[in-house]
Amino acid sequence: MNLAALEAALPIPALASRGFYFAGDDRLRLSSWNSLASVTVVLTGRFLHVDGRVEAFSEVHTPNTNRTAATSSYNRAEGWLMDLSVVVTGATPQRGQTFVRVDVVRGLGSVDVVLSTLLQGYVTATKRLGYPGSPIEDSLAGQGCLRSITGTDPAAGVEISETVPTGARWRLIAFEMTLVTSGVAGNRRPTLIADDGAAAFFRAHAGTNLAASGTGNYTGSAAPQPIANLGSDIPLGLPPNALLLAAARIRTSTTAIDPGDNYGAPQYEVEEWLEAI
Amino acid sequence: MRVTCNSCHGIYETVSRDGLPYTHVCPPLRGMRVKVNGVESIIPYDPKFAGGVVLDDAVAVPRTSARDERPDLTKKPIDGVYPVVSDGLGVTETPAAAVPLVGF
Repeated sequence: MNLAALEAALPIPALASRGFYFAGDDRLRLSSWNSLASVTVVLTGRFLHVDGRVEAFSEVHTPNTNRTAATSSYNRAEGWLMDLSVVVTGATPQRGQTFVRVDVVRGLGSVDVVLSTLLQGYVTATKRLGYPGSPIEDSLAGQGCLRSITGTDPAAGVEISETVPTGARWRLIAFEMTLVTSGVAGNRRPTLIADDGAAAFFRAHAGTNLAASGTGNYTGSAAPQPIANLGSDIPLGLPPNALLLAAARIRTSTTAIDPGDNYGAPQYEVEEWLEAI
Repeated sequence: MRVTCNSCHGIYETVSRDGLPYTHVCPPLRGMRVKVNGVESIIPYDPKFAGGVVLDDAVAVPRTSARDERPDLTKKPIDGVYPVVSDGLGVTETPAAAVPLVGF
């Protein structure tokens, strides 16, 4: 049978061969992982019904802002999904801040079965994902979101501790902090520690002591730095490509810290990915 | 919004400059290893025990009533959002001009 004869034999010949068939009890499920406020995800597409009618549809989904998964399901009649597009409105996330997945599922709640994944990847206000065409992308692949974060300014006598949020993976690029010591005699020496939430796996010791009534500006970087201090600027080494899982901490531990010693809010740069799980 | 954590008295902005919510977790207390009757344990550092105790700067002890703003995935979501791990002693809104920041 030639192609023309085959198309004539099918009920919706030319279009049916280019769509994703829905049996009538299948649904589209949009899942999102997001870290930015005010993000809205818009799902648009065209659907070919069995009576030959083409429906253009648009669905709106609101992600969570704490990197946990949010899902929405949309019923579809029997027919063929022709194409699909996802884009962000309401905010302008960077790549690495809003991740979406569109599945075809059958069933409800915890007993649903994923039949197929149509779309998966990071989406922004200008970079759409489309079906067919866009590759299925892992949330940990490619470039993440570059962030410069101001941490918590600890109370006097309290160490710095910054925690990787749930649902995030960080690559620590640089870390900067200031310690102002009290007038109580004694040498202090900060150590920058990376741990997994409990056990330390990296320690960078400052090369020099900081005396009473002193100020030390500590700069941690994986890039080569001068060994000697420059004024009150004191270099710290960081491991190259320092990947940190959720719950990991970057913290200080200061030899002979006095209750009057005062760290300022740390400033650090990380590359962040969403752990879409 | 700038707030002061009532548990650790740290000061932070609830939303970072890039628009992402900041997740505060109270810093742990410095720990020390002590050995009693041959059993080693880690307790909060106390200067009065400094004699004879070797400090280990890698160990830490959770702070009592620590605030932990991370979502607790073991709890049931409320309106689709997971509650935080612990509110601790809460926070107090802090005017930006009221606290001189130490730093650059």
